[in-house]
Amino acid sequence: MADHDHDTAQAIWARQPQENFAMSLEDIRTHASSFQGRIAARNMREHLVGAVLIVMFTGFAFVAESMLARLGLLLTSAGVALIMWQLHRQARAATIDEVCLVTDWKHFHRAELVRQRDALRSVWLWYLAPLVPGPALSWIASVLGIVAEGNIPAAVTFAILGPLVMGGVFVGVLWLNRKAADAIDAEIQKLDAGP
Amino acid sequence: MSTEQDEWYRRVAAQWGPALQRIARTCEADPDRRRDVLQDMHVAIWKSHRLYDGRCSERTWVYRIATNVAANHVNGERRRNAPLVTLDAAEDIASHDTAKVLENDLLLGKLMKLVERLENPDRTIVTLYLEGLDAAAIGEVTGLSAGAIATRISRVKTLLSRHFREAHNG
Repeated sequence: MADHDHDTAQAIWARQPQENFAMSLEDIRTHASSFQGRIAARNMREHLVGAVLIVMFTGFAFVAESMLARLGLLLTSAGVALIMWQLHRQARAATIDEVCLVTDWKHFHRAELVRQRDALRSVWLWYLAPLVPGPALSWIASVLGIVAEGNIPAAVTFAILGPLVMGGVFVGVLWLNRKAADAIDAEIQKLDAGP
Repeated sequence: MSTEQDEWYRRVAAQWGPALQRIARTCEADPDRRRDVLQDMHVAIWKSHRLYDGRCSERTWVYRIATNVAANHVNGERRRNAPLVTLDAAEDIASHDTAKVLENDLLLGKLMKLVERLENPDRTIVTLYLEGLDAAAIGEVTGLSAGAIATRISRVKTLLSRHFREAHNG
């Protein structure tokens, strides 16, 4: 392999066509001061989904038949709000300030991986636990409603199936997140060991 | 109102703007999303002026920020992107994708395919190598050891040789 081939590769790389891109200082200031550009836009989308869910569950609470069901739906809304806040706090991408503060790529990359891994490992606490009280109360309210109608077999079936389905979903979410966290952990260990 | 920060940014952006575009291209194929990444790089560089104390060269500083923004983007998008590979596994990429690349852009297309599919730190090292940085400068930007970088560059050269051979053989 001749060295000039490598020079040629670098020359071809450097001669890539340039796109028409320019940011005025005004654009720069707008992006820097009001929000963190693309990252803020992504967070905004996540918050919008959360807001829709909160409005929806709160709306259902107003038309719920019993006080217990109403409380369950309101707690579900609160749980979603808590998750949205935690999502912003724990699972967000680095801010532009954080990008600037670190000394080199390795330290930056490692810190980001550690944050993502820890967020995934603690998903049971900030993502699943807030969703327990509300749906649990709603489920109890539903069971009591069926009992009040005198349909005991249906109440028993619902009482057993409800926790089973919810538990299954939770275990699935935990497993997937655990798997993702392990993959990131392997990446961190590889980085620490050196390429 | 023009400030020292603005003047510094204007000069740095004029000098390193093309490099920023090339680095953004390695981490995002979609033009609109790439524009967002590029905007983040420019904003980060402008904001970083207050932190730049001249202990490293402007080139190192700009490349650090650009590679950090790129890494941040790749981390955020990892679920959306195709699985990333190591330099060892990248041996196969060139062969499989050859037919898809336009003939007149064969080598650039192959280089781009190679870089896009690499996992980090290989992606960052290869990008900086193609940018013309030597091992010491790559070490300054990435914080990786000189030995690790030398090994990577040696593998990159072998890979590039293969790309050239395939390109010449059609």
